[in-house]
Amino acid sequence: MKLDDHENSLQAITRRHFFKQTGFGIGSLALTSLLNEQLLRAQVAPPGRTADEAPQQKPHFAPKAKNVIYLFMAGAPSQLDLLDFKPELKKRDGEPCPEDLIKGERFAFIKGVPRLLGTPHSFRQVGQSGAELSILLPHLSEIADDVAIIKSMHTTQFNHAPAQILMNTGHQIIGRPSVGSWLTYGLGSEGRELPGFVVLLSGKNQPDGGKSCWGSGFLPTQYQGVEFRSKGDPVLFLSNPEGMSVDTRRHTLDALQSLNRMHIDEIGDPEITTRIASYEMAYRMQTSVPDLMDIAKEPSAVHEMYGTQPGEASFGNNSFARAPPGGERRAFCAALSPRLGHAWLKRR
Amino acid sequence: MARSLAKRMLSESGPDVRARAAYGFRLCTSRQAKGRELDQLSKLYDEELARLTADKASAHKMLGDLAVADEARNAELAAWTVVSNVLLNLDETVTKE
Repeated sequence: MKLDDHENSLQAITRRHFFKQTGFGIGSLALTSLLNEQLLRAQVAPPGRTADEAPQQKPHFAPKAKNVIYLFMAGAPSQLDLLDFKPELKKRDGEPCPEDLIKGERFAFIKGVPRLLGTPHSFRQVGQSGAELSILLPHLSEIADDVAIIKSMHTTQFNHAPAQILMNTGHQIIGRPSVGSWLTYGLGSEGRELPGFVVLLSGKNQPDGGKSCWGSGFLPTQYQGVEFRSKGDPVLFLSNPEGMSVDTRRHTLDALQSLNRMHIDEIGDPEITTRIASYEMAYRMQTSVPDLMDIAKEPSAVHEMYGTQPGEASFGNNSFARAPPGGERRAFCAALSPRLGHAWLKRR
Repeated sequence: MARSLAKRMLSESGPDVRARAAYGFRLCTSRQAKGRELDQLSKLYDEELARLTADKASAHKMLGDLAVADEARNAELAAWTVVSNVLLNLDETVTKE
């Protein structure tokens, strides 16, 4: 008997997945009711179809932005020195921390009564909006009216890893989807040649929060960020092994896909569709990734303007990775290595 | 890894293509392959054997230092290497349900 699509998609949710999903998040249930049914169906592709081929339905609100470039600069200079002026803190610089702020609290690495640290830099109002920016940001000050500065976010987490996980997933404990995962889940990606959510790492270290900073949490793993390396091959093992032609690669993927689909028909685990989709994505990335990361094609004047050097592993190069052709909708994310802020503080 | 699996499929099983494919499948997934699964693997093997018999250089590159003087044997081993690649990447091989 041929079931219709809807029943197929219900069948595709296995018992294990049902418990995993409901166990983890009322949030995901709430969200699925907010999104229309077609979109939900696209997420859990019916058996025999990869999520890749599932109909891409538009969400309720047409997204205006086509790309999101999200620079998460762990260890950057403090906002208190750059764009969040605290006159009272500056006035009290060097004083012991008021008791009502720390009474009954315990903080890691802090003994006794800490001293307040106000910014040594001066601030000024810039642009028509009168935004207060540090004199350390002369160039940003010139375009102050074109940027939105959000100062209302706060956290109780002050330690590196939990704070980074909170910043990226909304909770200090791992297990929630990162912001890029939510975006690709909720809005989808029109790009077929590259993953919707790409992570470019700069510096020697990973962020303290680790891969959870771009993980998919309780969402299906196809929404997690795909990590590109900033030097050498952007994605490891993407090139064909010696002697394997493009045709052979295609044949093996076809065989692999049809065998994996037979397996889906039997056990209906949606994670298999994720695997099929990621193999297919990898195949397309064999040509699209070298092109994306090849910034050497840009004219030298452009490199001078951005301070980028082709072939070097740098934050500038990562930030510069070219937007994909055709203005497709996707999310981008770049992370800088931590610890710079410490050096910054010590220098003062 | 794929080359070594291909070697075992050639030397430890036989005599025909389906028997070798079934043996490799069993090594990877710990279960007997179904008929349609063997159809798929045999088809891939036949296609690749034809290609690699004609293209000796590719077979050599794929085998590296496992290549021998017998070209027919090289083509066979290389074609089984391609099949092994598929077997090792099956969801069922990678994930135990």
